[in-house]
Amino acid sequence: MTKTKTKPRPRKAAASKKVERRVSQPKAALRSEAFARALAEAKSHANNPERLRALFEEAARKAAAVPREPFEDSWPYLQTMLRLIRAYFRGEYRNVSQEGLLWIITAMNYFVDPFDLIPDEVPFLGFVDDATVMAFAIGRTRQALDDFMTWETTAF
Amino acid sequence: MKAKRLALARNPKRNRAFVDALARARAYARDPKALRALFQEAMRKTSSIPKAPFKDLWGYFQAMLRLIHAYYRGEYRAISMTNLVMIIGAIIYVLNPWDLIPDWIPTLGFLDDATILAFAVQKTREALDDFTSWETTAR
Repeated sequence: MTKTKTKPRPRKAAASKKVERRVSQPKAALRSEAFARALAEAKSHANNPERLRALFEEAARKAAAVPREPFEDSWPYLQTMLRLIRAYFRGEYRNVSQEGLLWIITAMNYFVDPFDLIPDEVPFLGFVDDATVMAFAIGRTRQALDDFMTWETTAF
Repeated sequence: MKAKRLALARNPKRNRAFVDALARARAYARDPKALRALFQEAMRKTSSIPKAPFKDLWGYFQAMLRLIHAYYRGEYRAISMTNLVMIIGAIIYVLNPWDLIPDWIPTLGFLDDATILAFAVQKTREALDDFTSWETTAR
């Protein structure tokens, strides 16, 4: 009887497993030098429409040329970030927090950087780190991106 | 509940309301005025539809709306009739409050809509991604 009591509870086991997975999963891209660079640059880009326009154009061109598969479900949000940046520097849409904007620009900076953690020219793997950064930025800005999309369809 | 949802996901074509929506979609696809009316209905309703049940598919739903907007205005036509009908059908279904699980039923009301949307996105993902690429490069 005591044996059955000492059995680990499945719930607890599942919880510790979850923690373990989170710790062991290396989010190396977020600790990379390239990410720090992207974040630092984002701070100077955010209030400069000309820099934002240049970033938008470069990122849009690149997004049309790169494989979509590594980004999986992040892909439509990547495109949304691009449209948001465009609407922002055009002054059409400003209803986004400074912090949200900063994460979005950081993700775009990382995306356009060909020499990030895994250089973009490496076959199959080149955009895996970009996808990690993208998923992270989306996690922080999902609400802002959803609000922007709602604005897009209601403001026509 | 999960089993029921999975069963639905396997058989969207057995969902009577979706079959009806696809039939209506075929007529809408050839009629810009009907498409405009559908888009305007979506504009009115989109902020009252809960996003949570749709999860990551919310972005694709909004892309579908922008696509039919660009389509009936004649700005964007680079899409096959099959994909267009599937997209219009999914929009009609999501906007229809009297579908398989009526939309006013709390928490469950939009599960069937999410299932149908997932099915439609799976069938038309490439067309939708092509459209969003066009949006950022050609506009």
